[in-house]
Amino acid sequence: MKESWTKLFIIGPLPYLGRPIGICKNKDIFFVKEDEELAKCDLSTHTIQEVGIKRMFSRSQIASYKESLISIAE
Amino acid sequence: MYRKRVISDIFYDYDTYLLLKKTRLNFEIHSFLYLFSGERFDDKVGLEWPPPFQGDDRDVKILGSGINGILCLYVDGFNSEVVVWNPAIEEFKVIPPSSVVSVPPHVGIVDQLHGFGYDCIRDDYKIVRCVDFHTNLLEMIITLPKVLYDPLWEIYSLKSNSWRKLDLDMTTFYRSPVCHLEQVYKNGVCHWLGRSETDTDNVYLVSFDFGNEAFFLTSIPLTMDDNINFDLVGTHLMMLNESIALISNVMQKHLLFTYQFLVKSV
Repeated sequence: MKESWTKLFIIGPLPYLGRPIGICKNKDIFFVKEDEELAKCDLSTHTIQEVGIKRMFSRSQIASYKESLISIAE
Repeated sequence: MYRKRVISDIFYDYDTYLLLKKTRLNFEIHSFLYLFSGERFDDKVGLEWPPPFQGDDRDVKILGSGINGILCLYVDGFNSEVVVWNPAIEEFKVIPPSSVVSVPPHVGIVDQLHGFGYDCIRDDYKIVRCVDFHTNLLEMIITLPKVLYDPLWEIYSLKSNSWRKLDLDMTTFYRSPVCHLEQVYKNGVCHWLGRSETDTDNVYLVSFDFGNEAFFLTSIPLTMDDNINFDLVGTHLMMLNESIALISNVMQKHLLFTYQFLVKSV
């Protein structure tokens, strides 16, 4: 059994941001706000910015992605 | 064809993000998938779902994240549908049902996908899941020896295109109203939050290695700064730099919240 957590930082206290759905570029954490708009919080400056994407459900996902030409056929 | 060309031209060598958005249109829920690039999310390309999900896209989910450009999509529920997909070359594969599990017709199977990963030793993509059984209560009491229906773990290999039983006693997803079913993946290992049924006081990070098909546990501090009850904290698992981040959303006074980041290198 390993136990090796380190406290990195705390954001806040601030009003409820909504549910975090993913981290991109290792610097932005994305939230779906209660008004269903997508927002991001810069983890180094802690500034919050709306992304301009509306009508989101909280069960959305966001991830970094790199395309490839790898075949999955037999 | 047009879509393939657009993806390659715009996104090659750029930081891109995949956004799975769910929204309500005409009183129905639909799922949409977008590829974004650019600092301000200004380049956006919508992706069509692969054919198995084109008729019904209400609740398509991505298991973990893309690995080498390959995504594992699924729709939850009884006999859940699972598809492995490479959108750039428009190839997909419908994952077959389990060959390990055979049950009488009155017994249903509920499978919980726990991870999608890459085994670099065998150059193979794999999916790990827990299979649970349900039946009506009367039949369970009268006819079925319960021991036959313990949950079991199995693993799918893309190379062999089949499932096989895993002889492991792993901890399944931790379930609480504020803890969503999240898993992260890095370097051949997938991770999820689990709590054992017999040891309910402790919550663990369960890490499953797709190469040696073994798992290990990392305990998670239950009480954080202010003696916070884990059940009342929104907890999320994400990758941050090369570390696993455990993000706890805690309500402070006057409707103000803090987000605490604990990290563990992998």
